[in-house]
Amino acid sequence: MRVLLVEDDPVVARVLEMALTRAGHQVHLAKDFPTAKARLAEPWDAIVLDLNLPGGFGLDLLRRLRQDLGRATPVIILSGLKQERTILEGMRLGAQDYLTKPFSPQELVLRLERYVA
Amino acid sequence: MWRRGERLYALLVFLVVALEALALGGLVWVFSGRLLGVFDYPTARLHLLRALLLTALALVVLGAYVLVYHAYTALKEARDKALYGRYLSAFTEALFSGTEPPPPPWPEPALEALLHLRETLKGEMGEKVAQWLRRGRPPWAFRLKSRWASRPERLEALEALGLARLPETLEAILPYLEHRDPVLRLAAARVAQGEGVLHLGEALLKAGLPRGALLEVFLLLEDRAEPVVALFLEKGGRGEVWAALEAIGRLHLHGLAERVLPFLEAEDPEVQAAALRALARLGYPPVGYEDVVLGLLRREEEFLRVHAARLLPLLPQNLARRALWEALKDASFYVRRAAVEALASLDLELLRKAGEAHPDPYGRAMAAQVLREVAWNS
Repeated sequence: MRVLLVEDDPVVARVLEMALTRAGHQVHLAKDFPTAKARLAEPWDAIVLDLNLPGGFGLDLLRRLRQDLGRATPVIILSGLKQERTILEGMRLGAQDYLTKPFSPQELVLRLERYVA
Repeated sequence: MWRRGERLYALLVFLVVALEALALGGLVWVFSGRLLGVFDYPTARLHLLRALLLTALALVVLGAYVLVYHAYTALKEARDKALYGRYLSAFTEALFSGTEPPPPPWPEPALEALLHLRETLKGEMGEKVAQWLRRGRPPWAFRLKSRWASRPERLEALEALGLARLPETLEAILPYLEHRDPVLRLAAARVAQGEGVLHLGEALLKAGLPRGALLEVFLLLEDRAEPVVALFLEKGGRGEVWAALEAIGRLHLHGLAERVLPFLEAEDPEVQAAALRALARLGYPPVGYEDVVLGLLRREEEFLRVHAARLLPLLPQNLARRALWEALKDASFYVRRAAVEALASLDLELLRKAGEAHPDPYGRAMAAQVLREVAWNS
């Protein structure tokens, strides 16, 4: 499974890269908004998306993916933002799930695999 | 507030200024002597050269310090960054492979990497990181207990303990909840997170803090306050319950509204008033306690009658109208004022009637005054 990991925090990125790689998936890391935006059109099996990114807001990437590119790629939002409004907006825009930090990497991988299957 | 390295820099600047003052003072002394013919020309020239030399020396020392400081800082940052990356990789590898991490003692960047992992992870992995943190014997709790730690060191320690979420360190954090420095108080209250918040609650219960300080802690906890407030309602004494009731109203903790009701019958009138305020702020009707609220309108304590009058609009409307009409006869200006304002929010028509025909002249005057205010504001 090819996974686009959009994450600017090096610790979270490192943990997720390791968890996903050990589960047998290919991980491609985008550390900021412009890089992620440029790579969004590639054929990904799943996307893990942070919201507060250098250069932009993660939900704009999700909006672009669903509305402009018309892709149904499974997206899990992983963010430190816990406000109900942000969670609802993410789910309305078509995210499959919304996880908050701190998180369990194994749980995230299992959820991701379930959405792809 | 002194940060790291600033004391040495301040001392250096002081020495440079002192040297300059010495050089200038010497020059003034010698040139004045020369004007008066006390010193000859070679002596004055010698002193001028000495002063120039002293100035040059001071500038060289200051410049060298700044350059060395920047070079050292850059080197240290690069070394710390490399160490951080190396330890982060080692800890992550150990987490996922189930092996042991490098043996302690660990340098500061390693503890930082562990803290960030602790902040990021929950569940089994999070617990494993917490165990490693304990094994690393971090200095933060010790710094908080130390008499000599500076304010930035204490703030750093509080922040680190907040990220570490180690319940056993709450003992070191608690005294900071009533620290005279508001910045440290705020930092201590923010330390309580997630599962740690209940431990904080239990520790707070035993701490015997004044009720105002407890309320401040609850307000600082914001959306994490509810389980602690619930614990205080259940197990707290008079002061703790008062603070919990105040927090329920101010933080709009609707989930606890029903648990406020029994406190309308508390023995302590301060607690009863806090319960009335909480219900009024939440807009929660005191169902089943209507008679208790009406009874509070007849109590001797003026502040209880005021708060009871403010809650009346949440009673069934006919009951509320009758009770407010009666409350307009109260001997207290403040109760009459609260009753009229409550009536204004409930039934403007009845307020107009009260302003024209209420049997109590003071009640009538108050109603007329509030009517004028309502008209003016609209």
